[in-house]
Amino acid sequence: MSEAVSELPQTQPLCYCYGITKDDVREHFRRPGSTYESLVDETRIATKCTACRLDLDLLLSELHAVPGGPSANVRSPETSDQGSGLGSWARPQDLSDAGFVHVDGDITTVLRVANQGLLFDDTTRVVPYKWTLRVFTGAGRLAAKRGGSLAVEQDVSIDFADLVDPPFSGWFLISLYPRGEGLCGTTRPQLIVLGAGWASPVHTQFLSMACRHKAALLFSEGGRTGAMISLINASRASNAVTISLATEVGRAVANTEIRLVGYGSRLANLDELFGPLDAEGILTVSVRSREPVAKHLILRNRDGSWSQNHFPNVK
Amino acid sequence: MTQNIAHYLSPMIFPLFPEEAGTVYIDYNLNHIFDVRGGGGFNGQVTVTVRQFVEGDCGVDDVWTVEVTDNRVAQPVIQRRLSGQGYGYVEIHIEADAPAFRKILAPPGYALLRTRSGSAIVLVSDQKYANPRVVDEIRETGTFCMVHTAGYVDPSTGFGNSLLLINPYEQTVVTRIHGENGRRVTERLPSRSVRQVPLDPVLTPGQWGTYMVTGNNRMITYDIRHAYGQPTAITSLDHLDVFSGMRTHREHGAVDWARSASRRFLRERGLRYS
Repeated sequence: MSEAVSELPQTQPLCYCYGITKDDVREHFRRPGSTYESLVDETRIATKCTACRLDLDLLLSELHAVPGGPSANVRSPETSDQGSGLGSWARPQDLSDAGFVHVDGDITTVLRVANQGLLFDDTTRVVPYKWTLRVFTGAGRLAAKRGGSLAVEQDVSIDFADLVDPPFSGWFLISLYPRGEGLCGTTRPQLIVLGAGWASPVHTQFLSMACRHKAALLFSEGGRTGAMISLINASRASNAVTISLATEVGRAVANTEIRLVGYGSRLANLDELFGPLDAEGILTVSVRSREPVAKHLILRNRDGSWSQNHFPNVK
Repeated sequence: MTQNIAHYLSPMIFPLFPEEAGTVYIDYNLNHIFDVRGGGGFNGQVTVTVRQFVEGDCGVDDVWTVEVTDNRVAQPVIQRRLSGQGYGYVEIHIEADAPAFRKILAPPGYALLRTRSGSAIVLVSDQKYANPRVVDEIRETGTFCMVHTAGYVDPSTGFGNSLLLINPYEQTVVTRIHGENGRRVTERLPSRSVRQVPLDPVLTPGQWGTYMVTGNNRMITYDIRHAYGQPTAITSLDHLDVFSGMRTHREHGAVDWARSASRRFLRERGLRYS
């Protein structure tokens, strides 16, 4: 279906229900003020049987394709010199993801990687991987190292409580190396914080996506936020990280600086760092650093459970 | 100076929940859009439309226009506090009167679900159209498929896991949720409706499992963790990932190959990790 879109003759309908062609869609977007919604309103494309909607998405991405445009977003951060003129060949993508590790009391951290093809189609081109896991202390020292193979339709779940002695606060780096050519499929690792009767999963992030500035939202009630920020120094140089809180209208509420050693990490408890805040409601938390830092926002709920998310990815 | 190519952004979708789950706080700063999507200094008008759909009906349709001067809006924050009307979603459209943006993808919006017990849970918006990961997935695999690899339910210890499905489109979507070992569930999603579907039928209690979501159209999906048997006692909310159409191998030039090989060599020997 999708491969066929770019090969359709310009006059062949994209939407058979209303006889709308690719050219009709292109023509619509040449007009000033046109939007996807105006296209649908005027032509009714994709509103009857809806079979063409996915193809319409592909066409839309083609129409807005610019260097670094939408489809470039999913490329590995390691694809910078494509077309350098020095010759090129297919190279395995070597992907390294990072996340925090917290093992203390009844809370542990689990890393899970599944290598499944499409569960409803056994012809998907997924391949075996080799994986290497390194666990670092908050002081940046290697605490554990494991490795293995991940066959197709296999998964691996690692409870960090089995690798380190509690209480432990640090981070991990998992590297996945494909053993053949295919699609990455489901191999993006999941980090799960597990407590008594609750689980909080989040996708890990490429360590190469660590950056110097990100912001997110949190909530202050009674001067407390219940928030923690996981900071992983992606540099071997020492690092200075500034965490700032501000209200929605930009009034500064609090800020502090944290030092991280090379490849060090910290789970920064904002209530401990700032004490009671003189602001209530939604606050913006901003994290700036001298060197790139991988970061997650963790909100501790009153029932003891955690919810977590990475800071926004903006490309 | 980067050329602006689009005068609108793909609409953002935020989920809404019944009253017993809590209140959704949305705070979205228009200046942030111009910081990351604005090319040249845009001067003109931007129209913001916020539509709130609950149980298939458009409950609120709020439209206003703001002046933009050199990529800056005087009152930039879109702020909403939404609760109590059942499952639904908010759709935010942003359109300018001339090309103003370098890409049609809105920067992700963050919101908070403030539960009745006082907890705060992060919500991340999704794109109604042209999500680049979905586009690439369809290009490579020919299908729409969302994935979560850490599904988990366990009645004996109180772990509940369900899937939030949002259909913001005009037609009914027939969706299938696939588990390992061939188990699957079919769900019909009428136009502009939202369903929270328990994952018990496709997961084995007490074991981590992968599940996949397909449909005859794309849809917006969230993984929800909650107390077992209490789907609105939410403790965590996560977006699903696409079944990645990214290739394991890519064409690369010599410089990039050498850089990557060097990085791997140093990492394997513990000399440098980043």
